[in-house]
Amino acid sequence: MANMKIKAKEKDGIVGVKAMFTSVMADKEEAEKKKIVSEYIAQIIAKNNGVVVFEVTASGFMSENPLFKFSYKGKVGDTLEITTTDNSGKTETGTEKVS
Amino acid sequence: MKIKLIVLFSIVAFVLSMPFIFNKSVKITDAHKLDADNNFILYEWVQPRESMAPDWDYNLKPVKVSDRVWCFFGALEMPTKENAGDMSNSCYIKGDDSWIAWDSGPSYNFAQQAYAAMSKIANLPVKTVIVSHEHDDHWLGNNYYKQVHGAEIIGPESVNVNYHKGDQTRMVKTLYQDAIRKTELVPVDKSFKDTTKFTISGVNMEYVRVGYAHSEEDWFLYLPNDKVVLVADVVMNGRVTSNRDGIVIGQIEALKAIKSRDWNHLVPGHGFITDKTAADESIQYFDLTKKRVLQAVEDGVTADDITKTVTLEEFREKSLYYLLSPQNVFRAYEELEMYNGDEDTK
Repeated sequence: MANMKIKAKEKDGIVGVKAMFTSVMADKEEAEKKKIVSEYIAQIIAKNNGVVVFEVTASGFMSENPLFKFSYKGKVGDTLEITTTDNSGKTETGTEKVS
Repeated sequence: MKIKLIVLFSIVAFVLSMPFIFNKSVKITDAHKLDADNNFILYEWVQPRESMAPDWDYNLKPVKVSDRVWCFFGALEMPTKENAGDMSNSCYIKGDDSWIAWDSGPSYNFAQQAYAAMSKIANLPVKTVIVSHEHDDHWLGNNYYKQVHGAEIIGPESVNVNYHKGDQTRMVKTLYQDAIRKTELVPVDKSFKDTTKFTISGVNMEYVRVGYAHSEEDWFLYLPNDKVVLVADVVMNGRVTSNRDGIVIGQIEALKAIKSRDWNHLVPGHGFITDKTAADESIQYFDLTKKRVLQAVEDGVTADDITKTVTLEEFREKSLYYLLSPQNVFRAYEELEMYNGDEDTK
C-alpha cells in the first residue's frame, strides 16, 4: 500500500470528498492467479476533527487503486483524516484541510 | 353464398399448391451440408487462402525535410484497408555510408517500398533503425530492415515487453494480406534507460527519453547539427491526437522537452507541418485539455457529462476530431480527477 490522494471541498455546508488509494486490491484468489502477494484495503475510516464521518469495510472485490467519493456535513478549515488498514494490518493515514 | 364460394376456392387452391409447399422431391445427397437441425448451410466456413494479388503499392514519395533528412508522410486517418496503414510519418537520415531509418512504417511491404524509393536518392544500405514508441503503425517494417539489411534496431524496451512474435496487432488485423504479408514482429536489439547521445555513420544524434507521454515509453530523435527533431506521436498536426494510451501531463512535459531544443524542422508522427509552428497545435490541444478538464472537475462535472462539457471546439475542423477528441477528454478526466500538481514533476 502506498500514498493516498484526498480532495475535500465544502459547498453549502456539505463537504464533498474524493479519495484515491494506491493498492493492487488483490484478494487470495486473484493473488494466486497473478502469483503476487495478496494485498487489499480491508477498512477505511474518515474522521472530521476527530469525529468518524465515514467508515467502510472493503475487500478484493474493488478495483485496483480505488477511488472513493462521499460527503458529510462540515465546514471550511475542518481537518479530514483518512486511515486505511490493509489485510495484513498495516495502516496508512492521510490528512487534508477542507477548502 | 359468396363467402362459401371464397372458402371453397381457397381450399382448392391450398390442395393444388401442396406439392409445391411440401416438396419432398429434393434429395439430400451431401448430408454434411445440413446442420444439426437439418437446415441447409448457406455460408460454409472455408479454409483461408493465401492472397495471389501482387504486393500493395504504397506509391511512396519521399519529401526532403533538410539536407540529410527525407520523410514519408501518411494520411491523416486511422489505419484502414484503403490506406494500408500508410497513416503515420517515417523518415530516413543520410549518413556517410548508410541510411538510418526513423520508424519503419506499418508493414514489411511499406519498408521495402520506402527503401526502394530512397535508394534512388542514394544507394546505401540501412544499418540502423531507430524506433520512437511501441504503436504498430511505426515499427512493423522492422523485419524488412532486419532480414534484408541486417540492420540493428534501437528502440524502447516496451516493444519487447508488450509484443511478441505471432501477436495479432491492430495493423495485422486491419490490413489486406497484400499489404501486411511478410510482416513479422521482431524484437528491438538495443534499448537505453535514459537520454543518450551517439554518432551513427557520421551523424550526431540525441535519442531523448520523454517517458510516459503518448504511450508507455516515448522517445524522440534530435539531430543538433542539422537542427532537425523527429518526434513521432508526441506531436501531431492537422488532426486530433489519439491519447488512448497516453497521459496529458506526460504529453505536456514531452512537448516542453522538445521546445527546449534548438531546431528549425520538426517532423511529427502524424501531420504535414514541419516548420517552427509544427508543435503548436499539440501544445494548444493538451494545454486546453488540461485547463478545461481541471476546471470541469472543480465545477463538479461527473465522468458521465465530461465529454459534453469539454468539447475543444478549436479543433472541430481537424481530422479525426469526432472520433478521437471525446475519448481523449474522457481519459484526461480519469487522469486529472485527483490531480494536485505533484504529477508535473517527473
